[in-house]
Amino acid sequence: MIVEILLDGIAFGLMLSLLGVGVTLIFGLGEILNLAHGEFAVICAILAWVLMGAGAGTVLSIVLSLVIVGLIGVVIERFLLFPVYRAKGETRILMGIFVTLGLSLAVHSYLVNTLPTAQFSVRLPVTNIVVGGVILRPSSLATAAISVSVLMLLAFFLKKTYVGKAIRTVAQNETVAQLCGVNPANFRTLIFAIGAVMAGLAGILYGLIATVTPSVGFDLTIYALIVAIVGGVRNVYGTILSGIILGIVHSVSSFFFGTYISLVIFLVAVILIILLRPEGILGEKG
Amino acid sequence: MKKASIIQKLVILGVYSLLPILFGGGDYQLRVLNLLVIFTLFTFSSNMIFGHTRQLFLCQGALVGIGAYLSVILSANLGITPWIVFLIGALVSGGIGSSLSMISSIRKLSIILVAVFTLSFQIIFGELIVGLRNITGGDEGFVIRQDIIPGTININRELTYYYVFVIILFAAILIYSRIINSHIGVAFKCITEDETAAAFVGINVVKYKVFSAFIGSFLFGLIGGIYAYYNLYIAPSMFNLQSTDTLILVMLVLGGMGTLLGPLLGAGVFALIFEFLRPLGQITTLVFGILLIILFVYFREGLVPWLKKLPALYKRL
Amino acid sequence: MSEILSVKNIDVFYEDLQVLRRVNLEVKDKELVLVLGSNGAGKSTLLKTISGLLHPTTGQVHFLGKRIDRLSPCELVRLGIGYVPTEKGLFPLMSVTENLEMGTYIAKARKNKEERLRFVHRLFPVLKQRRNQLACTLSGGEQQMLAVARALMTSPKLLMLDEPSFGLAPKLVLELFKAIKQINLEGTAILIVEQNVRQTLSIADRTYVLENGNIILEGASSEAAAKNPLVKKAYLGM
Repeated sequence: MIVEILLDGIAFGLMLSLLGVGVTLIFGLGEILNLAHGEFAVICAILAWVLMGAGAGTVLSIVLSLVIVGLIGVVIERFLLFPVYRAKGETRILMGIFVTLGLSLAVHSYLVNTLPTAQFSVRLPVTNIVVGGVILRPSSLATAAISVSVLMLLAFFLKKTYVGKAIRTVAQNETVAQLCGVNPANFRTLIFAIGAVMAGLAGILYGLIATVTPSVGFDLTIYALIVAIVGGVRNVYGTILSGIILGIVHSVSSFFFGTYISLVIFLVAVILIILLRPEGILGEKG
Repeated sequence: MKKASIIQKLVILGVYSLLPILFGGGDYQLRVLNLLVIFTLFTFSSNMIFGHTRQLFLCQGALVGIGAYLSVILSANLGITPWIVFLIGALVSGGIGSSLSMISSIRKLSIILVAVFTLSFQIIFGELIVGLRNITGGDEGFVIRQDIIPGTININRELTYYYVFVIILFAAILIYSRIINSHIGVAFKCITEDETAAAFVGINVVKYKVFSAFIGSFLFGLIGGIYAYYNLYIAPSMFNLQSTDTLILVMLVLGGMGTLLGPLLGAGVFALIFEFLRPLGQITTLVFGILLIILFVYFREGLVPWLKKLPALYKRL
Repeated sequence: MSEILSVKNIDVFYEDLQVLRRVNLEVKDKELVLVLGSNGAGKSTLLKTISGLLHPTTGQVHFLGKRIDRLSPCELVRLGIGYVPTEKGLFPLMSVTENLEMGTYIAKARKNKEERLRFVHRLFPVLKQRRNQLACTLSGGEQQMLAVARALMTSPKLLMLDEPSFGLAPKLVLELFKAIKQINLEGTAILIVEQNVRQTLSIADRTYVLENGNIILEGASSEAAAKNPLVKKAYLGM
């Protein structure tokens, strides 16, 4: 029993990690706290719903919507965020917060008004698998498997490839990165697009266990921000860890106390972690 | 210097007093004006907490809500006269706000962490109100059946409440002025510039942050209580992040943080924008969002600093 | 010997403050040129302008015949300019090897990666020893060597160093300058900006003196000593 709850929690937590890592990466490189992050998740899921409604197969719709959300990320970053990059330091952080806030309000309003009936959800055509007396839900398995693969791919990309290392250099010392021939602006766009795609994937995965409607964007953004900030806002590993921990907290408390109180417990856990380790679970940089 | 600012304050009082006449005394206009002053007061409090001591409180809605619910519940169930419960509500909000501030300052939480910390508190508050539905009326809200203004004085309800709020605003402006022009104001300035340096100069950062949080939260709670009796209806959705905190912070930053006129101007401009956008109906938020982006790109320091720079720009032409 | 870098009449402003006034300077192929000046004279600004981090308001900078004063730093690296800032010239959370590898990020340098790595290990053996350590765990002197090595990995034709001796113990300074002279002998032109007069003067071919944003002296090192009493004092070791 406990094992099943833990597994569900880890799966949910990994989905939260996917959301949070996007925020962490975007903040680490551009010092922009993306308040519209949840909206990317919703855009992707709703796009998939639209495509599926137009007759495209499930898998194709999902792949296409991920690609499109990545492109949307590129366009937004280039056209909306370039004045924010001109500011420095605290001004840039504040500007980034409010500009992305405006973006999230606009997107939210647009989606709710033009597609009020949209709802994305996917039910896997597989029944529960039983292994040694433990019931494994296919949605949790799929979520966990896909999230872990993507996160591992990301880790490999950042650690081993030239492009990935270039991204890390921009986060650690932008000036010297330029002196190595790296163009920071291009990489900021790349990381924003990666963040958008990861958010989109999280949105799709969320559709495995619940239904994504145009109005959940803000809640997803708050989850993403909490996970990223609790994990140490520039630390990718910390974000992943905090996502998993909070996912388990959510799952365990939902089972024992029901969804209403579980939210309160979730937030109390967040408060405790913040107060006990203000530097973030694994410290600030990574 | 002091005389000039007294005149300035009297002018502000005068302007606000005459607004009802300016916009015509109809009920709808008066309601808009009431909301304007209420949000001006909110922005004023936020200015104290965020503008002057950089504490990004995302629980401002909750602080207002605490004042609102507390005063309503206490007077409905215990029969205490509303004016005293307003004070109790304000004190409780003030206590909670200053506690949050104290914990954050002692743990040296960064701005972003304070935001998440207070945001968690805000959401918990919302859930508590919904959960304790027997006392609070839960999601459906609470209808207030009492009116605190006795029928004899009451000529026009909206108007009376308006002037109550304006008087409170004026008092707030006076108190604000005294604080900012004293050593406390100097300490605030040092803290916003560089907290570490301020500590080295001997400023007790925690003390000043807690003080500003108390004043701001006290005002939040006070207005919350009066608002409940003005609106005759409160529900948790009125005090959440989206409907309250977001608006307050936007008004504050666009008006100009850390200034006297900033909150006044910010709330005023936004009330105007909202009224213009209202006929658009459903896409109001959409246009609002776009406007927000544009405004922030061009007025990132706020209207008041921008207006101060205008004479210099004019000279260059 | 032809000139590879030529700075003509540049004015550089930092916000509203003028830091460099009508500065003229040139570096010839395989030369080691020194720019001396006290704090605030504008030395860092000069190198930052040449490397593309700042742009002159008037005047021009030419490198290998091309005009470069409007280009960005990442483009200039590809043309062959390597710049080592005074401090923090590396990536603290990456290993020594990773730092060096980033120096070969540009396609042209990637081809020679192994060769450059061997060259750099020969110059600074300690970097080979500590190759898997994180850059932030190295001592000050080792970090400085790593910063220089990183710039070398880009196979620059001109290497610019901003106060390389800053904060280093005298013995390390000696080692560092020996390495710099070696780099120069192997064919890389070098432009050093320094406050530390004595040790650098002896290795430089030509010296400029920068004061308050103006070049007040130029010439072969011994000449400079003859004309400027301060330089003379330092050169003769008094």
